[in-house]
Amino acid sequence: MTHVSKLTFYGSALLVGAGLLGLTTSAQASATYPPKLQLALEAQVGKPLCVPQCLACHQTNLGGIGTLNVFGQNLKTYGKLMIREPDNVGAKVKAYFDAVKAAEGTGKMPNGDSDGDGMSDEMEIANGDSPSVAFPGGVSLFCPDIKYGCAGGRIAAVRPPRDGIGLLGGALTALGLTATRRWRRARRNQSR
Amino acid sequence: MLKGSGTRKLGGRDSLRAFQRVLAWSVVALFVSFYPSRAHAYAWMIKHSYAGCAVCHADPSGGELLTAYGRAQSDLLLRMRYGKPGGSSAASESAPSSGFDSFDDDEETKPSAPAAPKTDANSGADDDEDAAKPAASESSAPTPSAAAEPAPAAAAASKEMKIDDSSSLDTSGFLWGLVTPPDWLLLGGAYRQLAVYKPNAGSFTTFPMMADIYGQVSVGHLRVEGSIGVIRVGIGSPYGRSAQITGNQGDQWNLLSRSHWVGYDFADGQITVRAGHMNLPFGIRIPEHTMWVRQSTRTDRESAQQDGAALAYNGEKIRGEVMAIAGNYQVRPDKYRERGYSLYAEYLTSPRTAIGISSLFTRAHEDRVTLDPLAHRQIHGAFIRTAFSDKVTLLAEADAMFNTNHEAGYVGFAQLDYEITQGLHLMGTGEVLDQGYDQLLGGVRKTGAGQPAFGGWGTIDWFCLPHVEVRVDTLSRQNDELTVLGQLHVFL
Repeated sequence: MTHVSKLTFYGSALLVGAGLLGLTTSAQASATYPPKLQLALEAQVGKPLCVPQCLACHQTNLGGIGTLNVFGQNLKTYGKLMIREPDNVGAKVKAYFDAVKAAEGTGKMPNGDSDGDGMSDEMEIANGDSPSVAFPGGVSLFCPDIKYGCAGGRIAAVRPPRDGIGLLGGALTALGLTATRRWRRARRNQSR
Repeated sequence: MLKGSGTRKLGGRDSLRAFQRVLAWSVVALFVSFYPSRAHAYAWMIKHSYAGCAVCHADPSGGELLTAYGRAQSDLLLRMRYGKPGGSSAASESAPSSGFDSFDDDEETKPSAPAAPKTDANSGADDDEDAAKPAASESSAPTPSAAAEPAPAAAAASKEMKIDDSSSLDTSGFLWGLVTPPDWLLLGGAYRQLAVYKPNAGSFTTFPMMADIYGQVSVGHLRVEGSIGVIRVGIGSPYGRSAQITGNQGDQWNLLSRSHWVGYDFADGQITVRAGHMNLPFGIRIPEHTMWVRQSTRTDRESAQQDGAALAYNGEKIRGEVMAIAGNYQVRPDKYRERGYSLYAEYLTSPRTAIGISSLFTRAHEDRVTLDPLAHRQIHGAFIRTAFSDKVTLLAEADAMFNTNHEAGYVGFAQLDYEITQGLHLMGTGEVLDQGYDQLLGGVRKTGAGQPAFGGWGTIDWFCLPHVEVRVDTLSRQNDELTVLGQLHVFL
């Protein structure tokens, strides 16, 4: 295989791979869950809420499987809210709270007070408190005031083009620059 | 009529050459303007007797921006050579050297590039063609060891490597050598596109994981380094957020800067004092930021950097860095900022084995990850990097964690790297995590939180082209789904 054909081969392989990757829609794991949960909980408590952080249902803000807190576990157990079904969050959250109310006084399931501090999950969420951490530890934990970035404004509010363009650009850059370098070297050799 | 598509066969056609050049520059402009991105430290370079980091990286503890010397080595030692003799094999044939900065011997015996003098390692005088060519023909010494001992083995290796050194050096510069920055300027960048496939769920997603550019300006012993990039993550995502410059809190794009600091070198570069926003000096600086050992200790290079002041030492046998952490000023309000210290120290016990210790203590009024009030975090541990042979390297680290409202926990990993042929690595990694039972949340003990969780990674890492890496990881963790990660990494 000559240098040129190698370049063509690997460059083509890179472009094909880049193209395949670029065809897919970019996404982040669970990116749609928090806003869906926000809408579901707002409908439940009847007032505007923040977009919940991972801590709403997980033990830490890193999220992840196997890290559900007690409220998240109750949503899963009694509301049947499962992983990878953000489109069903609204229905499953409603199902959880409906089940809680239906079972009230029966002793068949927790009375909608996941952390057992005497205030219902619904009430704590409406107050911005964590339904997973008993009072007073959970006060204001459902909507923490943490912010990121040096600037306060929304500088990059407009979404840029599809992510695949960047990948394609990277692949083309690699190919184009390598080709250019080889051409320059060939020209130098010719001039000697 | 032109035959073939190769650039060499196009010689003589000026219009085509011009078109090719315009195309290349256009693509560069497109790439840089849309998705500028960084190179990473590869701790397994110890098998080439590169136990230290400072000569190949602007950061004295490794990672990101490459020095001129580092650029040359990345081309000679990292990438696949496709049948041509490479630096990796040559390096392994020669007798290893015995110090963290053994490459300094190189400059003594062979004064020209690519073995840039250590004091100039942070300059932009990298692969200038005029400088590189004589270096290739005269020394062709890709490793410290080859140069340190011009023994028969090293000489043979050197002879072999003359064959392709010029092409290597041609492509090692910024933008594959298309742009040659002045001596006082280092430029770099990286782009990582990640694809995530979960076979059991049948889900496939892909997104740009990293798009940064970085640079360093040197004025005498004074250095100013910084990075800037873009990122878009989901609402609530832990990634990227704490490196943001702009203030979008949702899933919009944000500008970010993972590092920006001012430093001053003393003692011929052995000692560096820095202040600014930096990687935390702790443990083995691996590129896998989601590895438990980096993620649970919050010492990864993804977005765990903090502001503060640091003192780094890179000696013959000992290297280390201690940082006073003043908090991350890209996170607000102040109650979420952690303050304390982080440090590591590493001792080179043999030419290709180094052992080290790490320690970290921070406190915050409120932990930004767990929201624990008056949170303290203590992490202390040890690590080892060793090369069993020319092809097999072991990295291992174990840390104990003592966090507020948690029982004592621990985290560790061991990674075995087998380089089948230069540029193609097979890696197997085992990891364990118990971050400690959360006494505040209570409930049952779970794997990873009160009980140990185990995980395993199988990796194929292919440095297929100059400054291009393709990597596939298969990741299986207890209580988690089987995940396949595909990654394209282009570093400028």
